Amino acid sequence: MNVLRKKYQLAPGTQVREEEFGLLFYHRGGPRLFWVSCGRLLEGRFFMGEIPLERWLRERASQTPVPESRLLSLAKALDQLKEKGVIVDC
Amino acid sequence: MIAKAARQGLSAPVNVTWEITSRCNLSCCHCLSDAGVASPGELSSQECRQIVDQLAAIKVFQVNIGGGEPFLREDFLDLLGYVHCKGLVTCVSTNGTLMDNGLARRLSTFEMLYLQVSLDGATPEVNDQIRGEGTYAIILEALAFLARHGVPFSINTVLTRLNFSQLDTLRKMAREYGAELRVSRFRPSGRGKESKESLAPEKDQLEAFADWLAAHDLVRTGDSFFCLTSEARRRKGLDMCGAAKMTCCLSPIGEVYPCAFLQEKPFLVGRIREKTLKDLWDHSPVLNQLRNLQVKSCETCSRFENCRGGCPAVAYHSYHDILAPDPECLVNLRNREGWESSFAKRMESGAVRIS
Repeated sequence: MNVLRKKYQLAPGTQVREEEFGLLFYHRGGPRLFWVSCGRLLEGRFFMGEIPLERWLRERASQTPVPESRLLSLAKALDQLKEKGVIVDC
Repeated sequence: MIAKAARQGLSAPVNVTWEITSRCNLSCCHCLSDAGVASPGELSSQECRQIVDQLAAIKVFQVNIGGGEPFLREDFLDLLGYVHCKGLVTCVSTNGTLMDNGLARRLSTFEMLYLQVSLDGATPEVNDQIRGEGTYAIILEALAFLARHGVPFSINTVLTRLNFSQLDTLRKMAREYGAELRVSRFRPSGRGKESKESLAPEKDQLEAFADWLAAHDLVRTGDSFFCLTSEARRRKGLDMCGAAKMTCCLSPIGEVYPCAFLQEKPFLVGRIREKTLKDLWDHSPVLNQLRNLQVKSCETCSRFENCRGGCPAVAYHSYHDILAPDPECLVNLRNREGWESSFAKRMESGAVRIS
């Protein structure tokens, strides 16, 4: 999956915070909210654009392996966020 | 997922409505806050900054600042700068009467500011009846200053029976100023209680307005009209009441309420001078009750998923019963005779139900 090799940053005007269900993104254009149900799999600091998704998940997978289906839905969510201008890859 | 997360309670509000002063130089007959003179003991500049620090620490994204007229506070521009430097987006509601070239220029330097200027009619005859003699001309001048300096803003119109027929003109006016039109719902709180009979939109107008909104998807509503939202607009905003779930309201003296329209004693969440907002947000019985509000009479309705019972504030102000159905939702508008009498009786008896 191509998405696994990518690093992501928040697009200008976007903020993110951690919630029990996962991540809540706020984009000031609109403004609009985006809800990503990912539990603790991703954190706000992942979107600093420093670590590719694969490495981020591998570091977490040493504690709890990430099932393939979860990975797929995560990849889809990131694609959608990118499409909507909430995040950018770098 | 949104509804479930909202019921459980987010870690903090998404946005906070902050009525930063009760002072106002106008006396609009529908004012939700009954604004006029400053409340005794309004928050000081230092207290306001401490609150901003709290909001930033718990990652509130946006502060919607209103009043009263916020620009009447001498420290307002400094405070606005402070909010922005803490990373919070602001949306400021103003009556526009204090706007001039210099102020518009200064506001244009704030990148995280959005302005809402109130205008309640497309003609002086209609607007001035609501906002006061001579205000139409002053407000239009304010719009011109803001447009000249490129400040992003919307014209904010409270839908009333007087201005309903002017919506198309208001939309065109907004476009001419490079702005958006935002239509808000008339709620019978504050001075709106007294003006309800003369200003609240009529049944036919509300039904027609639902169609009008569906046909004009660039018109904003600030989610005021989720009770009327057509399928076509559902994905444009939050389709349920956000009070206690996404937002709360801070009064000029630091009292916290679930929303600006429920600033009444039974809904007092607490005081920010006594507890932190985070503490109040996490532990308030009032907020928890609203998060789990079940308007049973609406649950079998075909539109329940669209509005989840509508606006509790309108129900409360109409029937003193927060569990009453929203009288202005598309379904209830058509069947009002069928259910209204029992709630009207409760109102007449003086009983109040808040849980």
